[in-house]
Amino acid sequence: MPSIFDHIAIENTYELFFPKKEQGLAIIWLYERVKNGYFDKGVFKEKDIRKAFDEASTVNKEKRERQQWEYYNSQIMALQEFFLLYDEENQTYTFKEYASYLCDKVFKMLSDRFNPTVIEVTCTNLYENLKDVTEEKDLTTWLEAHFDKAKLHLKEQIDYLNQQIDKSVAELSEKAKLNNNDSLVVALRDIENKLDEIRKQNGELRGAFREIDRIKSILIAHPARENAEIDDKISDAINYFESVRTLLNMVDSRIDKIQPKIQQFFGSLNRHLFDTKVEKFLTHLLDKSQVVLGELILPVANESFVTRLPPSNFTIIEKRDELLFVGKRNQSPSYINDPIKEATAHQQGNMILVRQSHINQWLERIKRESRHTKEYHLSEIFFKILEFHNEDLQLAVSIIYQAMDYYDKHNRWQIEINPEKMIQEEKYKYAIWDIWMKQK
Amino acid sequence: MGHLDETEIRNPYDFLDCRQGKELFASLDFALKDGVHIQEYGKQKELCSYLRRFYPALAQYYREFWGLELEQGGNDSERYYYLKFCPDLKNGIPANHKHLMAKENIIVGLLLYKVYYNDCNIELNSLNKFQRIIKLDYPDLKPGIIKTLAKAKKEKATQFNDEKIDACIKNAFDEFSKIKWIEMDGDSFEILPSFHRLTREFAPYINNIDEILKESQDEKLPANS
Repeated sequence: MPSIFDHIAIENTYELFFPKKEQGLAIIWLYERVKNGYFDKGVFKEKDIRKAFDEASTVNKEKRERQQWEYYNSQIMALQEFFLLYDEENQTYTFKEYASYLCDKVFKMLSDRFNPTVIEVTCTNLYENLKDVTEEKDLTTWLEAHFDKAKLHLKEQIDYLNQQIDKSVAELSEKAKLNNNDSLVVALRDIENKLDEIRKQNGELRGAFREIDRIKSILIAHPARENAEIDDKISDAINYFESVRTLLNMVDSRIDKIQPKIQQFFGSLNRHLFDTKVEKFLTHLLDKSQVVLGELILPVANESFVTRLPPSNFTIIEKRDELLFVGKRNQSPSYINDPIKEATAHQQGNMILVRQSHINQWLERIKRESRHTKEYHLSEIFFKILEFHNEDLQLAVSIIYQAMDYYDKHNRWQIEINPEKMIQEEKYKYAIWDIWMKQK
Repeated sequence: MGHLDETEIRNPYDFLDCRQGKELFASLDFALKDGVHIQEYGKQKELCSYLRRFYPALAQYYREFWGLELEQGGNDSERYYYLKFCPDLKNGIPANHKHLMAKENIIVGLLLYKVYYNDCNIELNSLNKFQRIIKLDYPDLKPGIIKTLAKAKKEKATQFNDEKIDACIKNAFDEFSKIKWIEMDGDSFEILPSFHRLTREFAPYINNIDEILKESQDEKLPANS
């Protein structure tokens, strides 16, 4: 058997199952009249179908003259495959099973299921029907009648809840976008109602959740599982409940995430005027900014703000060990006094403690980061230290030395230096041998 | 009470000497100087409680020795702290030593602010989704976005421009994540209270935006007449 995809992709097959909008609307028009008894026993005539197509074309906003006979004829012939059954003897039509099934489904999705309590009711019923079942026969009935019927309900309800959340979230955003005071008041009232509604549904979900657990525990320990056939069905049912629980959890956690955010939005209502101004400011920036020689120029005096201290140029070059740390060639080592640091050092003996604390902090980091790896690149951490501490070479060297000293004597680690390779980073003027900590 | 007061006077740097200080000061110092905003969130909780406890002393320390202001923003549980780097302060950091927030990132930040706060996209937590929203949902703003983020000469949407916008947004999010305005985990992100630093920084302009717009309108009028 070819795959369903290949099957349905065959020319004109897809259209038989999923009719064009006009055809679909015509079918629904007829379905409504079948359902409300307008057509006796669900039987209708070709003129009714033509009327249905005329109505559908009005809805579809395709203003056109009355259709040609050939048009109706070709549409009806197309629908005869799965939707319409023609009774030649009486020259009447009825719906085929697929048409009724599809329309029933649409009807149900649009009306019946707008009731989230169904989850709870369904689960309670399932539990009530199961709790006293001891006989294999009764359990089979439960599995094949009650459970199979409920299966559809449960997941549909979860879909529904998810859609409700989607809808609330989208509505909230749409209303917020209107951005005027009157509609804001309305939007706020709506949000408040939605919040309550979502809370209520959340409670119902939790209720349903509890029942599923009770049903599951009965099923898991049920003596009838000794019968292999029943055992298979019970396993399927348990798996199904697991999947329902996963879905319920997903809805739950989604609501859990949304609720505090809605509270946050409530909390920030007094910021509304400011937020409106932020939006105007953004629009102003987008309108008036210019790009000059590839650089963005914002239309404000203070275009940006400093976010962090970049690495500075001052530092000390001290070649403690030429094998390990090599300055770039043709570069005269320079030492620039930093009066701020000096003054600080003099004034505060505590700063030594800070330095030691920096060293400990980095050694601690090396220890922590190397815990779950087989090798650890000390040369890389060297540059990270430079970056964090304004290119404080002394500090970086001390830390790397202490790390090498410690891990070379370690019972699990050893230090490996590759003198062939120099590690260098562009923004720094230092190079360091390729130094690794490797597990023994 | 008297004894406690004396202790405080004798050692204004008890934030270093206390047990917490020995464990946390270096981390806090790293983080703050690296531009990280500290707030009651996730792994920062411990740092934040230490900072809160010694806030006045720490603020004094950074002011006296570094010429930096340890600022606080937000209220109650939304409170956040950061170092405000003023490069031109007398005993502060030399003026040429500064890392400015990229201006493109400022635009991306304000877009995120609009999409999340103004338009109440409460479930927005995916970078990918945000990139899509920016490219598709705001046709009015799109020309400005193309100009400022894609830096295209003509404000037309093309795949090339859209890819540049995506890359720009990604860059900005990386920076926001680094300074803890947002918490990122792969594609998903969460906006942290300190994200408001952005609008706080531009508050003088934002609060007077109506006057600014009016002035810019007035400037235009004579030229047109």
